[in-house]
Amino acid sequence: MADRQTPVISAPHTEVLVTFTAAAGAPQLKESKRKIKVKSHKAFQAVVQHLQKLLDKKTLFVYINQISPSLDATIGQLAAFYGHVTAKGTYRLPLQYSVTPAWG
Amino acid sequence: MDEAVERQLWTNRVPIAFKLSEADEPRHGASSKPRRTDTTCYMMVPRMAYLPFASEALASFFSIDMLEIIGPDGSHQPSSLQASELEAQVKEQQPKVLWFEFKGYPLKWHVPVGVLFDALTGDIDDVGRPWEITVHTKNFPAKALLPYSTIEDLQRHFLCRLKEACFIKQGTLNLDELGDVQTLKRLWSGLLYDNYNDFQDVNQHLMSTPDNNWFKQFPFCLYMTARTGDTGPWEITQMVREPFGVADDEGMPLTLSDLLSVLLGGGFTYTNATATTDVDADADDDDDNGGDDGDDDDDGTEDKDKKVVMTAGEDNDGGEKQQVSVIVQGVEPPLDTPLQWLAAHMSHADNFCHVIVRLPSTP
Repeated sequence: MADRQTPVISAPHTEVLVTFTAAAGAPQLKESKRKIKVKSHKAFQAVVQHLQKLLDKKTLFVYINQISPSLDATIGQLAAFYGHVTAKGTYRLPLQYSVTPAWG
Repeated sequence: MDEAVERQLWTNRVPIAFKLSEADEPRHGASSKPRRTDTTCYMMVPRMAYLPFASEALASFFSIDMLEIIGPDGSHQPSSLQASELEAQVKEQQPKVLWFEFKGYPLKWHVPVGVLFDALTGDIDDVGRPWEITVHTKNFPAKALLPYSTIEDLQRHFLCRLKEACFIKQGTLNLDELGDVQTLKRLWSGLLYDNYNDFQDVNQHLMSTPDNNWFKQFPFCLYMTARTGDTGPWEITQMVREPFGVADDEGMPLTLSDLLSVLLGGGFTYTNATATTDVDADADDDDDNGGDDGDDDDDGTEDKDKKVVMTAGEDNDGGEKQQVSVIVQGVEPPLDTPLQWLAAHMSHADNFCHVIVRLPSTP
């Protein structure tokens, strides 16, 4: 835990690799659209809006670990809690999306 | 004693004076009714509540028709439509949303009232006076606030935060342990209808851990607040959340001072007196005054010497380090308060401990 807390916050302009997976029968994205690099100071809301545009859906439920994060949390904060550190030392944040509520 | 603290925090109220925005409610030529913007609605709002809880009462007080049909150009359409037509129209129009503003700053609907109050008031002038909030009915600031249409949005948001806090505390998301949705909704309705027993029954369960172990991590939201000059309005400049344990590698409890030194660095001293361990229900029976005491200390430089000041080992009288106040639930807890205790007893209803750090004013 201790080794996870400093890098994300202290370097607000690091990038987090965000990946999208369809859940609960949501339409799949093209292979090339399933990954996106996001600056860690960006709000989660920006990623949701990006996904809404990609899928052309107004209502979209986006989850991490079955939790729907606050839209005003930053990607860096979420990566610190729920992300994985890759071999290269970068962060990866897997998201699931669905068009109907999948988890409470 | 801990139970008394929780009960006290639950009963703490913020006095608020709601006024309707004049810009949103212009005087209509034909209107013979008294102007609704001339009246003020006073309420004692629970610190743990959220502002939209007051919407219904405010709508009825100010006679705002929540389903009023507003034309695309903002003009009021005659309300003599047939019921079926009206229904069709209403379906197209979103129900009217009330939003709240203090000194030009839109108030976040998903932040507990007590947190907003502690973070944004604090001017010496405000002591003893109700918090004046402007109620808006139009031009929802979509950039500053998260999308909101009905109380359902708040409920969903709240339950998600609750789950997140439990995830942070327990390290896993075991939904069986969390209780079913009905149980969580009981906590929600306890909060919504100000029913302590309903709330506490569920909350006690959420705050407990198997074998009475400590939490894995400290679930907190830290708000940095600052203002320009000595008179500018306070603003939340940053919201910090990150993983932080409640004990160090050797199992020793981490305290509020440990959290602050990691997050803020050593460049600050704190107005929170460490000598007095007075976080109990008797000492902070008037919660709002507790917060205001902090402002006194901020503004009165002559008080500085009396304070027991936390420094990183060296005695510091030169004023090189900047002085900040740390506020949790309207009081300034001693810096040696263990994070475990703060999480278990000073958290808000969403099970997060909301910590406010009032930074010194920038010139």
